[in-house]
Amino acid sequence: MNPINKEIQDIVAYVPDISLASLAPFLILLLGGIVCLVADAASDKKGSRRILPPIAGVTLIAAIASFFLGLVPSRPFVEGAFYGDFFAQICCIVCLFAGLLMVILAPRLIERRNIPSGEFYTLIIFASLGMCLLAMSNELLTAFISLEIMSLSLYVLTGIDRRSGRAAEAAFKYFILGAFASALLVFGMAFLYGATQTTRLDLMGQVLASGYNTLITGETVAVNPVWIYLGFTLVFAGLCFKLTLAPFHMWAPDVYQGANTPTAMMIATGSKVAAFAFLIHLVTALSFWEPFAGSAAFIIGLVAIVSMIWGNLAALVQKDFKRMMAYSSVAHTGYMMVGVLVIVSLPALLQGDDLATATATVRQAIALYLGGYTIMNVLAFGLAYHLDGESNMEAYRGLFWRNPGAAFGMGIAMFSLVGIGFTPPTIGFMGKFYLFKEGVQYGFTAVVVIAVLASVVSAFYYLGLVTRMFMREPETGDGAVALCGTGAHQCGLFTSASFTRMYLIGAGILIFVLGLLPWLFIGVGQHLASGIAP
Amino acid sequence: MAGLVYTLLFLITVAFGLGVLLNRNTVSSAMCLVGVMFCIAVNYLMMRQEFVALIQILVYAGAIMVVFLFVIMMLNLRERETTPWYLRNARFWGGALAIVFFFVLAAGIQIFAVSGGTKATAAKEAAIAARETPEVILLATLMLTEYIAPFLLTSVLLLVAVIGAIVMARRKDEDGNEILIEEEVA
Amino acid sequence: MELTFEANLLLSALLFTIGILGVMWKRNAISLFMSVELMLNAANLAFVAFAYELGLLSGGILVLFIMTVAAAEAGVGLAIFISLFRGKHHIRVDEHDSLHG
Repeated sequence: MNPINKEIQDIVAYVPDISLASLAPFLILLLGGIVCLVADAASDKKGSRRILPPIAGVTLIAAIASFFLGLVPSRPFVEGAFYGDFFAQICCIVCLFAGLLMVILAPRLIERRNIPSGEFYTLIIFASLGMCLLAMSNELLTAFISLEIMSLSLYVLTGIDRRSGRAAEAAFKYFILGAFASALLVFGMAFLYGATQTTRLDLMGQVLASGYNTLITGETVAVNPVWIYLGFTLVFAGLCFKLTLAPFHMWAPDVYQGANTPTAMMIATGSKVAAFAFLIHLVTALSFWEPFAGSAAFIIGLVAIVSMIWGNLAALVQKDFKRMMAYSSVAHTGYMMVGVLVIVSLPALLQGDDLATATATVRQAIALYLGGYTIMNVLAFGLAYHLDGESNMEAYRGLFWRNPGAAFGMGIAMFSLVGIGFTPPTIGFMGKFYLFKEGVQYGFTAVVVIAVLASVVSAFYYLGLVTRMFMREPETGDGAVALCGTGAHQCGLFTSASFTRMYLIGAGILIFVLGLLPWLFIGVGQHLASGIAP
Repeated sequence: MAGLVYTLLFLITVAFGLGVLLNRNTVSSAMCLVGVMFCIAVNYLMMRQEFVALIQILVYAGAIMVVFLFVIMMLNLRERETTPWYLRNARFWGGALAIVFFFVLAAGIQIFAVSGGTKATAAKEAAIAARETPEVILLATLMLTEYIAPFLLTSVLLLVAVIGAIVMARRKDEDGNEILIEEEVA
Repeated sequence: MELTFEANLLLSALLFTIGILGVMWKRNAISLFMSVELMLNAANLAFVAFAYELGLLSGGILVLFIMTVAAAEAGVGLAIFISLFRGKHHIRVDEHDSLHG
């Protein structure tokens, strides 16, 4: 509806398509964020440190629950700005779970580093809101604004510890490279808009399928291939920053290392999952254009292979835990790109109903991988946070003898991250299995083989950490993990430490449960998609 | 006549752009950026987007660049960039690559552009002149119907930006102590 | 040259390239960020050029929103620069490397 020459009466009489119920999760998050801010302003320092975690936690839990009410429709809503299919909803929920863990870990961080708590919790909620919005965006401009909401919150969360020089530097680097990536993204969006006359991804798909735009202005204009190639390349380059794909991943090790560990966890899991969901939406829309599959698959495949190899090789030599996890996440995003490759090439191979079922299957596999990846990273970062000298790999030496529970948990996370060979019952293995199976089925065997080889390499550094935990180091005496039940750390039922323990144990259990029964995760997704929304 | 004006505009914009790039003094660089923004606003006027041109001048040149200048002067960044660019290899090759990128882009535009030249422009002018409702009303309608989601999200974004800017830039924390970077624990 | 679509897009591409060169060459963080703003301006010009060419009005709206986002980003970014400057007393991009290894 582009009202070039409409009458004023028509303009005033038009009612846009919004229903508050369909926006329920977003509204809950927004309300929660504002309540946090106001509550912080209304109370003093000690009071706000006490009441804000429950408020933020309840907000996130309520937002997650609201997805299960089936209020979010599975069609483009709010004038085509959002699209609530099951994949987007699952990605949203995954991001909210990451935010929930950050809220649970936050009190300890705030206490240790004297961080302003009101703004901290508010920014966590807004970061989660941005991630949710990005995962569900159906329109280029909405995606850009959501990306910026998420990014600005994360930049500030990275640097919120104003007393740490490393945090300030991490925020600095993250901001500069993130701003550059946003500029690339916007320029690419200009070309995609110019080629298809629309910013909505669903309409873009229609235009590209038919090859001509008669959609908006009524004139017949052919889709110009140069704009699509340029546009996609620039948008993909911008998204590669957020997804830490090589060669645009350089910021990740520094930023993960310098930021406080809960924020590093959010960046590693939430921002990646949200950006990935948007990439999938974009690529699905663009793949309706026949020439797209070959050239895009080439670029994506190249980037994927370079990421897998570079990430794993660089992780081998890291002495800092968070830097190692940064490079490991580079590699994992490389593996995830196999799913994108399949989605790009599907419309060229199948038609009609076959296409619909195949797309659904691939999206399920990708969703499973994303969910598993988040759970594993959440467990690893959450445990790492509680070690004194949290980043230093030396702190893991002999951890098993000091705190067997924590070592066991970290071992589970590491085994799951390896994800190949002798680790079948974990979700890391299952995620890779389903994803690589799709990849081989649709002709990307070479990439899958490289991915498997790269995973073998990754076993060295993941399991290297595990063996280090079992070494005997009787006299070191530092770095006890501060979770409940060990020595002097007895804690009550509703303290941050007890919630952390529950959450991390739950994550560990989920790794096995979803590894043995991956269809549970998919079943949840199907339930979400078949909701009662009109 | 219009052609001459546009050529001048083109050249001046590029000159200001190069000024942003090549100026050694940060304040001069910022003023050149203001110049680019004004030229782009004139470009918008020539494309009959009067409202957008106004907002460009008010918001971009008038607010954002003023904040830039405040910060530059507050941090007293009058220092000159000392090392000549051709001595830094990686940057040189990155720059050469960017120039190649530009030529690729320009070639693509020359070969594949869709428009028909001056005739198309005249037709568009006629269509715009025949518009009955003012442009601002049409823009507002679009913003509140088709683009209402970005409109609402922008308010959230601005809230986040305000919170973030204050948190990062304030001098005193809640207890009244000054915030300083402390020695790092190894 | 006349006011044509190619000319506008050429100008946009030129400014974008100058912006990228600036991001790579400038050592001062604020100059770098000004180059990013130049890139965003070039993208805005591309949006309006496409919209004028296709006869759409949505290009102008998109530009308004992108401008707003740029303003928000500039606010937060400059605050981050100020925070870093207060601690380390300089914001030269290549001299901040306490995070390696």
